[in-house]
Amino acid sequence: MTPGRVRLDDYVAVIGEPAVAEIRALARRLEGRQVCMVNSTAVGGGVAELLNRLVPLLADVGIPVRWEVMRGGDEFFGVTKAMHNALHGAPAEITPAMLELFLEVNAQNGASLDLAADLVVIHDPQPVALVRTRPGRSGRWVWRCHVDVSRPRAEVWDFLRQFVEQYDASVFSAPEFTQVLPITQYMIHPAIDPLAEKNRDMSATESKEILHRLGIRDDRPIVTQVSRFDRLKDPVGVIRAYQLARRTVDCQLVLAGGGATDDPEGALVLEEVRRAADGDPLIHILELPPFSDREINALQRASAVVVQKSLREGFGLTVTEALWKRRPVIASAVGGIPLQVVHNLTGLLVHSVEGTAHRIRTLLRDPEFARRLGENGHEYVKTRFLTTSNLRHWLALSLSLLHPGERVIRLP
Amino acid sequence: MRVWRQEEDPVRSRGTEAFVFYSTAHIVELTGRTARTLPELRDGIREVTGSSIFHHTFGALRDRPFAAHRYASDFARWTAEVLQDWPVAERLAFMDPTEFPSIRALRERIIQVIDDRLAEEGEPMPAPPGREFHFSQSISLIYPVGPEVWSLPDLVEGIRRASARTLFFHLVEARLRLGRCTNDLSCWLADGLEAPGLAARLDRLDLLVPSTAELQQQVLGVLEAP
Repeated sequence: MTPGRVRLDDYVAVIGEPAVAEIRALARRLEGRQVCMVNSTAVGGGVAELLNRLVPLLADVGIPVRWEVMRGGDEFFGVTKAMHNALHGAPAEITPAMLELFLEVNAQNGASLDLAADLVVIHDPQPVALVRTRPGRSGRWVWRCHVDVSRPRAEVWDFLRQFVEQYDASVFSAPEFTQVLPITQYMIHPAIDPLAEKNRDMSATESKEILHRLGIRDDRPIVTQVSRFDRLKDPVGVIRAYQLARRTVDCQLVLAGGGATDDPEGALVLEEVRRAADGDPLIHILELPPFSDREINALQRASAVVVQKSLREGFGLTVTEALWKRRPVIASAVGGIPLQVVHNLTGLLVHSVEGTAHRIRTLLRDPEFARRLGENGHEYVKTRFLTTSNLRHWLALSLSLLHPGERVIRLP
Repeated sequence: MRVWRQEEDPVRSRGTEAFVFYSTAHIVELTGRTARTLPELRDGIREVTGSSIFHHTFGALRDRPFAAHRYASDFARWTAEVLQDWPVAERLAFMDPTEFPSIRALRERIIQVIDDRLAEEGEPMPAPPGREFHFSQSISLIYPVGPEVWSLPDLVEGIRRASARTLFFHLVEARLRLGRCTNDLSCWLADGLEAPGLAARLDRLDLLVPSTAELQQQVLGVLEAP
């Protein structure tokens, strides 16, 4: 897999020349070490998006890096989809024949992919069993788990666990997403790309033009939640909070999410949302098509307040995106959100509809407080949750694997 | 106009040894240990590695300078935000990690603060499910960056060009990592450049400022003062 050209120097304008120079200096300490990243898809999904940035950036700082994409087929990916749901705790029927197919496809890929490298990073459960075909004991193998496996169906986790334990180390996105394992567990947070279409700088004129096209006027403050129409994102709760807030402050609400045509539950939730909106012309329910990154960017930037009132959440990258855009964020204290929202400093954590309503009022009445939250949030994301931080973490992890057992590593 | 003694004119002096700028990178290792209550937090603090105490105190300062005066450590933040145990949260928030000469001293003081609180009346409240405290630890990589510096003007130029991580390392982290008496820059000013007056003024800086840019300005203010 050959991703597009991305250069670290493109990020000088974002994190500054000294920080970029320090990443390059760190990478020089890995001179000659080869890295191989393996996942199950080249396009679509967060992991492919991440690798499309990380791989060229590793190459740009002088690390010989390959990106191998495993081959599967519909039946195999049907099995891994069922496994994925089971890892999230959903009921799933996994038969012995399905497990056999899983192992067979992994074995075929183990024979065909070039997995010789000093550091081999296997992303997510689909290729996890490649570790069985590990050539000798050379190189370090790391399992990078992007999934929250804290509450899995035991039968599926027990099956995958036997392979995970054969790795030298694992990497999770947050402490809350892990399982007890006999191997070292590292943490690398997910990251957003500040130069991507969804996050790049955008002029007020451009943002206004996009809002106009979406049928939203900017004549009153906009409160926005960007999320698929899913009960776990509590869009109806957001409407109720907006309705409570509206009793004393003027605002409009935007609920923007993916279309629900191929998701029966999504269609039901969308119907519930429309019923709750009750024809209010100031509630804008937007079904955005895939690849609406420019629209999402514009909506987030135009918002006076961004809400993420999830009942359950993964890391919550929509929160990261809003913080990066200096937006004041009101979000539930679930999943990875408290890792990003430091209450009263980078945003406001809430636990109820009423709390959300109260905080919407607070932020709309106190723009200076809202501005301060937004500034802190931007700085926090710049320090911890950008592509460049992700690159530095991978370099640090690669180097630390060369110094096992050392907690303070002094490099020449 | 300030008149320097011959041996303390740092602007004209060439140091007896070079100052080397360093940067750091960290990777976080999860320990798997959690705490749901204040006693569990105290026990964890007592038993985890020094790297873990470093991660939850100095690491928090490095990553959240804007929060330094409210939550100077992850312990202060968790006791306030999650346990909402204000007496202990306030005491932990008031504790400046940079004032402690060692991780051991810092750890002992945190334990003492929590023990004092536990000795007071009241049943400690547990964290709600999903908001447990997760103990992590940092693996730190320290490496030189930039050219060696031999004079004050070069040091000032180096500070101007330094990243947030470099500044944090020399002003805050180095004293722990390298066992120095005070911050790294002051040591060099006093010993390498033989300018103890300048070093003393740098020592008096409040390091808990809301941004690295502010810290940088403060340091430059001291180094460039007439």
